[in-house]
Amino acid sequence: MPKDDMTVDPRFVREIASILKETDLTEIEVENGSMKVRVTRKHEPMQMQPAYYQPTSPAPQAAAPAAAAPQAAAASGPEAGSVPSPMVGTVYLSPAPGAKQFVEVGQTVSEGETLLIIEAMKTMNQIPAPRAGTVTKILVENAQPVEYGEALVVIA
Amino acid sequence: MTAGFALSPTALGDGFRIESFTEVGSTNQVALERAGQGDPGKIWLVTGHQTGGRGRRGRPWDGRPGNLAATLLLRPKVELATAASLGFVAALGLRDALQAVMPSRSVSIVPDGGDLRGGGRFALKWPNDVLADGAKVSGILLETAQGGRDGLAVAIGIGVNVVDHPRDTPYPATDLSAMGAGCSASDLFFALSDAFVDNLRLWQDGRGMSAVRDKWLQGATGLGSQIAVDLGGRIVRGVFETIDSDCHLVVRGQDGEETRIAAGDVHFGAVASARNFKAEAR
Repeated sequence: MPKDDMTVDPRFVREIASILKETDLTEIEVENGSMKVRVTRKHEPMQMQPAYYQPTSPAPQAAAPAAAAPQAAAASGPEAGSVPSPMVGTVYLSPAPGAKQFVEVGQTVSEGETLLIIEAMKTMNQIPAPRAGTVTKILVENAQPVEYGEALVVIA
Repeated sequence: MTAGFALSPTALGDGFRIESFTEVGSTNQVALERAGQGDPGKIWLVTGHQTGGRGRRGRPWDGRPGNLAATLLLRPKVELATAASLGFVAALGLRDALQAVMPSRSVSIVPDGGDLRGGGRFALKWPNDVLADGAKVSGILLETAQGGRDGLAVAIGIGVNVVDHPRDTPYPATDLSAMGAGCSASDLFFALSDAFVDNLRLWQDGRGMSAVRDKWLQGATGLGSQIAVDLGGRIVRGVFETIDSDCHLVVRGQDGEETRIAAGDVHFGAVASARNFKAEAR
């Protein structure tokens, strides 16, 4: 979300709440630029589902990382430094098929540098690094569908 | 700079600007560069000869002299997911403009039964193609970038085969001249700049999405038909049910299961294979 926009997207909060429930944590805090969102629960929260799943039966290669994610989250919540997907779509790690990836693991990036592209409805969205740092993990495969809030890369 | 391209009075009155080029590599590229330099948006970058046009996933877009390439740069204060719906606004704007320069035949709405040829002269194909008599006459590609303090930049790129079209495409293609239109790229652009004003007003920074969706569905081709969607290797087959409130494609499979798709290539060729499948089932 734009840094100068202080409105909070309810879907974003819903997504965090969903992770909270799924992982049985009591508190998740996400910081993005000047915005900090903390979701906590003291009582049994309402059943909250992301508004959208895509696709209904994910491709086998996409299923593996998706299944692995909750385990990692259960241990430590969303990994520190992870960059969440701002939208539902398909990830592309390079500007064109066969071209060099925007970023590789171990590479240093500056704030605003393009990490990858997410396509939704023939709109190619350049996803920028929210801060400077070193790319320590790329959590998505090329051409993989991603959900809103799904961790894309980790910048340490 | 070149003479010839001009905004409609409505577009001018609504604060749109224009910069035109005799020849340029990619109007989308120029738009994103302008955004990086702090341009506030509502500017059209236009040429009659785009030499380095690009399509989805690096596919080249063949820009021949006399055809139209135009990109509208916007800086909407919306979430990225909302900005993606501008592709539908763009398709509606282009369809309206094409109908304005070529009004000779009647336009009808596809009946629920999915006669692919029944969608009027210009029909909409998910996500943002505009087909002319079932053939590809144009291409739309949106690119977004986040520009620091200036926020989101959206480049809405539109290419139209006005006087010529490539012959070596794997799908049927045509151009306006071949369809009998006498209009030039600048005539079409004038109509396009006008039609975008109306459709952007309908969109209202995303608040008017349901109106945009309704208008799109009225002009959509293939509703209720068998389609195949290529998700980059995996194929989803089923009936094109509708588009949801986020404008994602809703496909119902043989088993009744619903799949919602944010990105993929739609093929109506599934009709044949679906028929074969039914024949086997009998």
